[in-house]
Amino acid sequence: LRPPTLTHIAFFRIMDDVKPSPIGSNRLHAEPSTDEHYAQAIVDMIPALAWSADADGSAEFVNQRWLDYTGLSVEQAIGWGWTAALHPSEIDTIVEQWRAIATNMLPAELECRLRRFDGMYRWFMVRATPSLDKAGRVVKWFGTCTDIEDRRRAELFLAGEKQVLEFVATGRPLPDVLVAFCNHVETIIPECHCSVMVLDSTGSAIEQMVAPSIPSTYCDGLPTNRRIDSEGGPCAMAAHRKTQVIVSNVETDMRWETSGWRSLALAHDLRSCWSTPILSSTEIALGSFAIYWRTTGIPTEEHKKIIAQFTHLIAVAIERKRSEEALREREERLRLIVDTIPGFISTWSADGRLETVNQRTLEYIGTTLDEVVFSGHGDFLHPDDRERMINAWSHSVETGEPFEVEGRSRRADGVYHWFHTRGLPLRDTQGRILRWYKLSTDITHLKETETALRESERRLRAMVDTIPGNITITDPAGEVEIATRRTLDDLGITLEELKHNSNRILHPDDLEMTIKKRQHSFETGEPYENQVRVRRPDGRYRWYFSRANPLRNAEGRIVQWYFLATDIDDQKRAEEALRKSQADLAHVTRVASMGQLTGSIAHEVNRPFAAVVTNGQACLRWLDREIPDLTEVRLAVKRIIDDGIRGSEVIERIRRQVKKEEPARCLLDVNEVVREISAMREIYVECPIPLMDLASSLPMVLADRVQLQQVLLNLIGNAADAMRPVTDRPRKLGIRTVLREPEVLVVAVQDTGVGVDPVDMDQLFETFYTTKPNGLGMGLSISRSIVESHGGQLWAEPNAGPGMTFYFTLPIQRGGGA
Amino acid sequence: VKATTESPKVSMKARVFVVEDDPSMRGALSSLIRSVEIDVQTFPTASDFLRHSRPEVPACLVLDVRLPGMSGLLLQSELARMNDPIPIIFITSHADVPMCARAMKLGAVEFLPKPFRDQDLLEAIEHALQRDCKTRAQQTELVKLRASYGHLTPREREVMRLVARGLLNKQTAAELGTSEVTVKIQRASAMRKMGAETVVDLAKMSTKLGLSD
Repeated sequence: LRPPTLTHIAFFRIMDDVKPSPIGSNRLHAEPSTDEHYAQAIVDMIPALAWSADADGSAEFVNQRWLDYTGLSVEQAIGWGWTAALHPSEIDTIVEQWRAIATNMLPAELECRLRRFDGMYRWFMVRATPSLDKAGRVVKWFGTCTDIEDRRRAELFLAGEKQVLEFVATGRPLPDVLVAFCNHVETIIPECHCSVMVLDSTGSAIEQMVAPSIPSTYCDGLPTNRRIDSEGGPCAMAAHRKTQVIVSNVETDMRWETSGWRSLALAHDLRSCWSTPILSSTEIALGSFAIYWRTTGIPTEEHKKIIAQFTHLIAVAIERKRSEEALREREERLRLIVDTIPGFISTWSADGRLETVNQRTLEYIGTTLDEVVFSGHGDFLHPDDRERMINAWSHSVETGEPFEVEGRSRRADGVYHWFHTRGLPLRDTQGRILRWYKLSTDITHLKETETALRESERRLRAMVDTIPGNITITDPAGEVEIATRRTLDDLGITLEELKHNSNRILHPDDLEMTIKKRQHSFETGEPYENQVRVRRPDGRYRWYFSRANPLRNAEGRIVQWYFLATDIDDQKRAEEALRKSQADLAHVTRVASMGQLTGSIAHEVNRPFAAVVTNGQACLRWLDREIPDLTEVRLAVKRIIDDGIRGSEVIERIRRQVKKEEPARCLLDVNEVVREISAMREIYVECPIPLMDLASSLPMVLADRVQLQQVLLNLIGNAADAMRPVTDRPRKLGIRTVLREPEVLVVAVQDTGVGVDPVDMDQLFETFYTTKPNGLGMGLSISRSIVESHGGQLWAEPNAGPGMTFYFTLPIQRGGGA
Repeated sequence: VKATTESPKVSMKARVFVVEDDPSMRGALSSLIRSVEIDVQTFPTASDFLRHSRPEVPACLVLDVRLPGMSGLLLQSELARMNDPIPIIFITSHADVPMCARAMKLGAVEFLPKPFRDQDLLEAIEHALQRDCKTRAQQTELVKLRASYGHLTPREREVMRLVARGLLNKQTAAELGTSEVTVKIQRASAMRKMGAETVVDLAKMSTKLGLSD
């Protein structure tokens, strides 16, 4: 067995990166030539396993290093014996590959595991080059085997690490990551079993435990969610103490006998366990990672190195996963906030395009985000607001000014709601806008309230303007601030004119009194009340009833006065007319001239006459019938007679009044006169119906009926006048007749009026003396004259309660006849 | 004077209402009117009359101008406001020209100063009752016409309107964009439903209904 001369040349060619080492003593054969010896030395010395083979691939030569490494003899190696050094599982595939290379006749490479003398397999790179003859046939194969175990392992480690990190990066769940890690560890360290225990975020309890190559009964047998301590097992202890825990022999180590870990481990045929704590970058225990063996033992230096590498890897993975989860949780929470916030949130690109909206917004418009982005947000705006809002938005996008606008947006059901939208830009450090954020708030209720408020204000305004009265508002000193439209129209002046001289429109006679009353109210805060004549645009004065109340602030200080003036002119005139007609009635017999009487006389007389005529005509018609209806005739004639009597009475009365004859006195019943007067309803317009208390069976008195009526009318009229201003108590009018012994009859007229000032009492019955603004001062004096001409007396007394009582007496005619 | 209550269309007995406050005059008026066989009902005040519900018969009102409470003139305005067409004869003891003019303007039949001739009053009453009969007849006819008109189809109403305007069938057809035959049929149907004998009748009905434009 000698290598051909060219052998070394061939080796040099394929091993051109190998430098020759100094010649050693590794000799294979005893008698080589110097050249051959040299070549042999080189072949044996190169730091590679070298060999040569025949054209068919069977080994012809292996160098000493090959033999040293495999522990095989030359005899064992040549031919096909070298295949014994291959990994049993690879023999067939490698032999096949080698035969294919040999057939191809081209240089080739392959990787395979070769068994070392001690039984360990290491990876080798095999390179082969053919040596050809002139005819191009293979003469020999020359090859080397280079140890690539370390590179291979580094590659494997990297591949595993890459996969684990990829799992982390692609967001695979933590258990997947942990399983991948364990598989990785078990690939790198063959025959071992691996587990990873992860603590919860508080670092005090076990969250999960993964051991893919150990039956699940092992992990299930460990207590989860339990606070970790040194008692639970080596993994718990490692995490708890943050130190590596080596259990070289589970069987003899009694530390976890009580917790049950020892028996659990033994039940799964785990004989040794090396637990290493997994610490975060901030030295917080994340969990622990353990390697188990079916045999007893302690880690080698190499193991320790690899374990350190793994621990770092899994720490990075878990930490990354943790922060990812925390981020996702935070994001989820934010999302939840964004989606549940009672507002509508959207983000927009710097050039103004919609990017995303929150869930609430989508629910509101009832569509998907894609649709909104596709169709554009303008579709959801109210047609009346669209242009304005889009313009405002364009403006903000162009200038970067904050966006703020109110407008209507359509809801899923087609109803438009009002929104207040604000948008702010997010800028980068250079101040460039990255994105816009908008928040819209539903302000429909607000808008509705606003509208309702405006509407109610408008209505109130309309009410104030149409109220049949003049309203003015002044400051506390009486300076006019506001007057209603109606007031100004009514007075025919401008607000300025009213402000500058409100007194000019008052009647000069009312001015002093008005100013006094106002001043009083402004000083005391008491409500103001006044009747005053005001000049109208046509120059005429009309009566107004003016009232004012103060408006006070929270401190009770007067801030404004509210005046309401109502036109009472018609009322006032009617009142005057009424009083006048009352007076006329009472005075008519004495004061009215013949001419004034004519009208009423004509009417009075005409009535019975007209009735007579018509009755007469009817009478004739009944008589003219074929069979005269005498019943009808009789009735008609009866009416004619009554009319005749009525007529003559009227005429007699007028005659008496007109002729001013001596009063016709006759015996009469005073009660009857009182009743007649009380029955004259027209005098009680502003006066209560009298309560009568008449003495029964009064004797007759000799008196003039008409004059007596006049006295009674006058007293009733006075009582009514005295009671007119009374509002705070019942107005009562009483008429009483009493027989006072021996021969005097008393008539009393009692009221609950304002009474008479004692100062005025003495002059009460004097002619032309009056306490009434419109009185003539004649009533009581005439009444007294009449009573006295009848032999009686007339006087007044204040009541025990409010009001006055007037009395007059009449003498009684005993024995009848005047 | 023989005042008859016979009217071609109203067979019910007529009635005269009297509002007069003077009891003697009230009796006299009642007696006088009854003497010519007309039903009378009297009231002392205007509000008594207003409160009274009247039967649906031809009627008129003899009304005193001066009354306690609501005056005769005020009652007249109130009746006008209520669209009550009852004819009114005023009687008064002191009539002045403006008052009289106002009353007549508001549709009073007569204004008689007291004392008046019985003949004048009774003539006025007859005149008033006739007027009321006519009003009532017109009212009844209009109600009937409206009812008939309500039964016409929209197209028949169109045809009726155009025919009343004097358009020939051909013109009507052109106006409505249809055939002459169709118009003839629709016109016949309208006349039948309205109870019109001739086209002229139909035109008159149209006027009464206020359709002519």
